[in-house]
Amino acid sequence: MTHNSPLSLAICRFRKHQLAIASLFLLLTMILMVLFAPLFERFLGVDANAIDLFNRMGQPSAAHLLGTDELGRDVLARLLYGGRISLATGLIAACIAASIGTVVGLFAGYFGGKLDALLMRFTDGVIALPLLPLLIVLAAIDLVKLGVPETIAQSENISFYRIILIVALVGWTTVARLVRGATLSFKEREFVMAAIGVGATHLHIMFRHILPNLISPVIVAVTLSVGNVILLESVLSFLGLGIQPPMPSWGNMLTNAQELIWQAPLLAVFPGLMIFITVICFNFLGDGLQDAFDPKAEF
Amino acid sequence: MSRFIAWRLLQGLLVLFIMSFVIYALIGLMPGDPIDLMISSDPNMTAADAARLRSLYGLDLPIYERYLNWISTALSGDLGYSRLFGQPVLQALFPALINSVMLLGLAFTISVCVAIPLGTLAASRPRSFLDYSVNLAAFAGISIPSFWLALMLIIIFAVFLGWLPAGGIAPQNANIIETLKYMILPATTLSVVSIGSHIRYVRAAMIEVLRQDYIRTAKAKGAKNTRIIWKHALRNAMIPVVTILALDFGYLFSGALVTETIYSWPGMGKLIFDSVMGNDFNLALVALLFATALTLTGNLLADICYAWLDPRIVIGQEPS
Amino acid sequence: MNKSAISSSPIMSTWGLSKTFTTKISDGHRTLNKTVYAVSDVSLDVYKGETLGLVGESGCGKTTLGRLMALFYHPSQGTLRINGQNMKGLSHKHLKPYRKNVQMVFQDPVAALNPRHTVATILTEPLNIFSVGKPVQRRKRVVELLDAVGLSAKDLNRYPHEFSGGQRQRITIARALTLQPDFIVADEPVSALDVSVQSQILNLFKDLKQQFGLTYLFISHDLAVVHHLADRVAVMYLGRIMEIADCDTLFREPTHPYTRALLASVPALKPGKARLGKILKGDPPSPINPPRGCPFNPRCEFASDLCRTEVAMLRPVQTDSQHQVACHHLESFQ
Repeated sequence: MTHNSPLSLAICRFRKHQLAIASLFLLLTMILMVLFAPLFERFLGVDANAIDLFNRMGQPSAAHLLGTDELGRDVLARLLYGGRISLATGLIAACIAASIGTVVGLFAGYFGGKLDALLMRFTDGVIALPLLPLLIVLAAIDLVKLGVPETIAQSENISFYRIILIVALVGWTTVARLVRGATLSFKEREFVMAAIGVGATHLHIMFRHILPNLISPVIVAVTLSVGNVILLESVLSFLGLGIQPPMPSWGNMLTNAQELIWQAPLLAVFPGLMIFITVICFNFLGDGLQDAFDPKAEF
Repeated sequence: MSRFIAWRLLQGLLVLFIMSFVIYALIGLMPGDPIDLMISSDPNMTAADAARLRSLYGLDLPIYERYLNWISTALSGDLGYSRLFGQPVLQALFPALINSVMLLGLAFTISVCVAIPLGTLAASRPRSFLDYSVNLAAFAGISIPSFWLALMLIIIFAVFLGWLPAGGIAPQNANIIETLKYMILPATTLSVVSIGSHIRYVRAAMIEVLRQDYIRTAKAKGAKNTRIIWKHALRNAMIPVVTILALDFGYLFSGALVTETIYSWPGMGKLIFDSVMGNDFNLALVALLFATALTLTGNLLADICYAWLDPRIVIGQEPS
Repeated sequence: MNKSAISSSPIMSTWGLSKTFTTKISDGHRTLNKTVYAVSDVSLDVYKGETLGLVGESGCGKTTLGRLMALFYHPSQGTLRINGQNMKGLSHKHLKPYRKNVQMVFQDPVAALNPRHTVATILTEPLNIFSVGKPVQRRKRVVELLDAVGLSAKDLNRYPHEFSGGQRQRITIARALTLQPDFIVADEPVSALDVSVQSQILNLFKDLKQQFGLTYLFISHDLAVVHHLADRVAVMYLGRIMEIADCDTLFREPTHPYTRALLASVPALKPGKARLGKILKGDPPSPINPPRGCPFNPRCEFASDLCRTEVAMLRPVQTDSQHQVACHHLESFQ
């Protein structure tokens, strides 16, 4: 891209949005920290999985900066590893959901007619469902009964993939509507006709001509939905239906905290604070990007 | 108008019908089935007995036949018996529904009473300090995990200060103060979470209205600013706001699931969660369908409000 | 223009070509599907090497006819032949080889260029789709084309929004030339441009025609532009061709009452019989409810009962077989 591409113009406007800039830096720092979690562990001389029953629910100290949990594990180290899972879930699920939504929206908007009616009624149906109860049922179903081989269904990481899948399955609707609306208006533009005129296929037009024009609203939607996905993941994990221990996530670190609320209230503070900060940062970032891409909109 | 409503109602019923099958199928995929539960409670049962029981209850039939059996009995009024509550499903459902309506009504009222004035104030002075503060608060509201907020409120008001109960519901014969004491924390949690988005809707709708020509005309004619905002603009800004609120109310029933569970508030949300987790299939099925129906009703109400309040919408035309 | 360069074989010929669209119209109570008769029964030949001007008021169907000829629409009725090949019933996929022969230049160069693509992407796209040459050769060809339309290689990595309107139209013209077509449909290519730029682009069209041996269907509502550029001119009204003739003949000897009226409306162009025409009153009828008979009859001062019941076919005038007019009372105007 050259210095005056649409993207660089957007970057110029984005830089005026201080909250979004600050959020971006905070998120990048957070991502770097969780990526290098093993380094931090070694540096602080702690181990996220080392159980120390003599030091349960310890107060913050020099050895354990944020104290220890009900099994004597270091809270800070577990927050870092939990962040890996929560951030990865949020980013991956949001991207998968956006991809599904983009394809559905592109096909509905571009081909129109019966296909459009069918896809959009389906989308409306999904939107009109009670999200959380449905997610709980989806998270609770027995994979073996679904025909998944037992070795996979029992494997350690399955809860991670499962949560990504079910969140993506319900989260694509916003992007689908957005992309459909924009596709409807772009397909009438003469550059689409010009592309037909030089022999382009429908797929080529959808993905090479229309899609690049939709990238900015889709990026905004994805950014905003990362926060939502992290919230959903943490709720499900908190209820014991998402990420399964011993794998830590910010949500499941809070599961036991409620029972221990009278003995160790501090345990409930940090994981939730991390979720809160991360989600609000993604929301600020999305808001800033929206302004940057769409300068006409006020705020 | 009536054609429009009938059309949407039909659509809603169709979604509900499809969902009843989906939910039925999903429930069937949950770990354990009724026979497993019987087996676990009777150590003398053999595998052959289990198989006989399965065919006796029709559990070895293909899924669609089982579904047809279930729905025909359900439509004849027999929704089955709840394992957890030890009573017919509907008798377990109604008290929960009433508890939810009480809690959600309070939360919703708080949210609307805070969001409308704050959103309007913010919109009337765009880019002012006040606007930024309200905006920031709204962002905090939509970003806070409800279960964590609930935990924090319990820590502060129940653990440290000891002012309010950490959960549960007041006994039947308690006075109103006592009843409210149990409702304050859950209602606050629920309203904080929805206030954020409500403020943003009100603010966005107001800003949109204030840009319109008739507002500029009113200003040019010398009407006072406050009068313009609170009288002329707010009324028009209410069109999208009411729509969103109607939509939200439907979602609240299921969205309160976490809050109700944490505060042990015996409402619909907690009932759904407990029945799903406790293998109470009959109750889970009906409760989930009920939640779906409520959400769909919220959607329908939103559509009707929108069409009814905004004269520019041509009614009677199929939304295609 | 050099008449001898015009061959006698049609590069594009249509027979009874019609195009209807359905549109939804709400009368306040319910929506009705209505048929719009955009193009009706057009039989036209375009000969290799000529510039055929197509004039008419807005909404008369000239853009639809242009798009039919540029293979963007499937005809509702009638046939369309390119170099004698019938296009009837060909699918999107099977039309592809013929798109090399026919290209279009659009009215609005802002809308016709994808804002997210650089000039290089825009101009190499047709070559990539048709797998013409190797990437290096494609790039060379694109630079040659840019040169031909008055831009240069340094513009390759720029985006459409960095160019002026006239420059953007040069880009769309270059794109239309990438596949080396014989025939170009230019749909009001200068009407979105500043007057000062219009003549530059018109001259570019002239130059390119000489250079590449092109054939044009040049659509315009601006009679002066058509007069300047065209070899032959067809006049369209409510989806039908009303008169077609050599450019000079048409402007000197307009015969159809509608053509006369059209020419009379342009003060600068009032030679010969145009003075006979009266300036039109009112708006043309809606193509949703075209009048019975000759479409011009409600506004025609010479309309008779015959005109109100039967459509007039194109007929040659006595003195000149190339000059054809669709009027029942043709003889009385000669």
